[in-house]
Amino acid sequence: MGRYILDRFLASLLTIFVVITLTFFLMRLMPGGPFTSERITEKAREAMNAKYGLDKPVVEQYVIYLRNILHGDFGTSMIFKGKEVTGDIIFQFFPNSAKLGIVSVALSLAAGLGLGLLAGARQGRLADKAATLIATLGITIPSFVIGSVLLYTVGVRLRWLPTTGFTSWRHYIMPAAALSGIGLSFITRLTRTKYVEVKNSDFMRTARAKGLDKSTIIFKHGLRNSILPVITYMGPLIANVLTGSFVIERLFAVPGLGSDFVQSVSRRDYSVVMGVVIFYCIFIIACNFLVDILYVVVDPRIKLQNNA
Amino acid sequence: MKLLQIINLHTSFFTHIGEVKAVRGISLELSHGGVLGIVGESGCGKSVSMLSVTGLLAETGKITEGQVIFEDRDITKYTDKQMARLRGNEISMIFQDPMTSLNPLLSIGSQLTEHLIKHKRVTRGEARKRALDMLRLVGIPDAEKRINQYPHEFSGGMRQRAMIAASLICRPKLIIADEPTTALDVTIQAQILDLMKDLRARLDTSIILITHDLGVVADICSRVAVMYGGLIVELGPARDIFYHSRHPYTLGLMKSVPNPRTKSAAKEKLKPIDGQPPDLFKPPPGCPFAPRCDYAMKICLRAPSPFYKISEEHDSACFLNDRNASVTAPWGKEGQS
Repeated sequence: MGRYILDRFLASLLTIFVVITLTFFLMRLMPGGPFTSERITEKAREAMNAKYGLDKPVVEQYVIYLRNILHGDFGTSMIFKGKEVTGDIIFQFFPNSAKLGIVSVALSLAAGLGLGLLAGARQGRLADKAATLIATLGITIPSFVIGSVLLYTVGVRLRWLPTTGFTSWRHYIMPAAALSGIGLSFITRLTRTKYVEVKNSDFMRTARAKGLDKSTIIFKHGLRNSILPVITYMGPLIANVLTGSFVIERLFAVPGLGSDFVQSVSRRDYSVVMGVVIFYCIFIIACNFLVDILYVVVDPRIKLQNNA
Repeated sequence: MKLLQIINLHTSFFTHIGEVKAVRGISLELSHGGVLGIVGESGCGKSVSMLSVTGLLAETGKITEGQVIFEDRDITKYTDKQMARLRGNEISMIFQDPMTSLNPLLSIGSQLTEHLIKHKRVTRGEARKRALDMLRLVGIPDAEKRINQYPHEFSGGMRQRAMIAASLICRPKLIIADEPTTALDVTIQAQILDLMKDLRARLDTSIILITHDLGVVADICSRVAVMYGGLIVELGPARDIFYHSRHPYTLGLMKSVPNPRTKSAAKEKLKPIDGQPPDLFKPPPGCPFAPRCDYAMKICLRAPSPFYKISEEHDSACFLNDRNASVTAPWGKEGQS
């Protein structure tokens, strides 16, 4: 176990290094720079480039950047002057994206597991067809369409929920629902497929032969055995949803990291792009690691070890 | 009072291509402390009839006629909830494949105690104590360590012992064992059978043993029912069935069992029964075995045979037992009544 964690940690460092290198050079390959669109004189532009070290050769910039982040210095934004990448941008906006993401993942999980079990238990019947239809709609309708429809009906017409802002729990409902479409669909399908297999297995018959309550049979014996594929999917899902969605954050005016990230790319805000990419990278690695640990908790047959 | 009475039980499966009549009217009795063997080939209805008794039929299966009386209660009228209170508590089951019949994600201890806690309302500590006793009783060494382990850490024989422990822990009056030794090695089979015999004597439980292995039946059962095509064709004390069988199907089954005492294997070749078992979508109007029977008469194809009383406890559903039979039965003319 200790050995496994150490190996995973070293592999993660390598991954992060590769991601940093690729992102750094790819950003520099894109035409233009952070100050291209600013209405300033050529001289001022050169002064700005010099201030952020952009006049040096690219390889030298890369070495300087690596040295800085090893000292924990991720620099300041090149567009929003004086704003620190970590303190003023990432840690300022990420919590909002994460909070919205957690609500959305919880929604996907609860509804997905419920619908999946229902569909699996009533295989081929009306409930199964309804759940399958919901799952298909959730995956085919883009989140911004779900969001817009919710905004118009629930927000504007019915006035049940506030349309924009991020101050009370009522603000979370619509963006979280719009965000959870894909996750809900995947979890429903994964749960249904596995539960159809599990419910006909011998140990489920044993559970019924013991005269256990229906809920015990379904949840303790059935659900637990059906949940492994869902756990596999949770890693990418959490990483994806918690890092924020540009479209949904824009639509509902949520002050999250997703919209900042997209803007920083288009405005060539090198330091913000790098900082956010590194942060996402670490976050995704952590999510996948947590999922691997969760496997061991759920299934005693799985042991963590390196086969490489 | 009998422990279990099955009266004219019919069970069918309703599939999208029609009704499969899996059990077509069987009647059986089991007294307290008895061991009844139900033998027959795959698909003859032996498992389905017992799953009907415990209410564990697949969703498409239904009892269409008949009654199951457990002690003095007609359990065919029971609701799901009432049946659940009976199962695992007064009637428990042991299944064929111990590799898949235990939940891979739960510890042996949890699988031994969950129904005990539900049915007998004992505390967790008390349940654990009884589970440890049970594991020792079924011969699992090092029970304190084993109780916390998971099924994948057990061998096949040990898992079946654990299954038996789980089925016995509520002290049921009846255990229905569906091919409990089929998936095990021969040496382990013998151990499991010895264990079941030993426990039956000690705990005073009745057993219904479903099997296609006549050796297993001979070893443990006092009475035997032979099933074919959804019907019971012969029923009697094990000794009579083995040595004085009065049904061509039973005799055919006997001939298809290898006998290690025969000196040269070439001398007595195993004799399989030719032909196919009947199609239960359209069961034949007569004796289900008639198309494969060397002694079949005209009447055998037309109507099912009634039970002929061979002795006080021995019945055979074969027209050859009739004194007017036109064909000489393999057991000779003198037995015909």
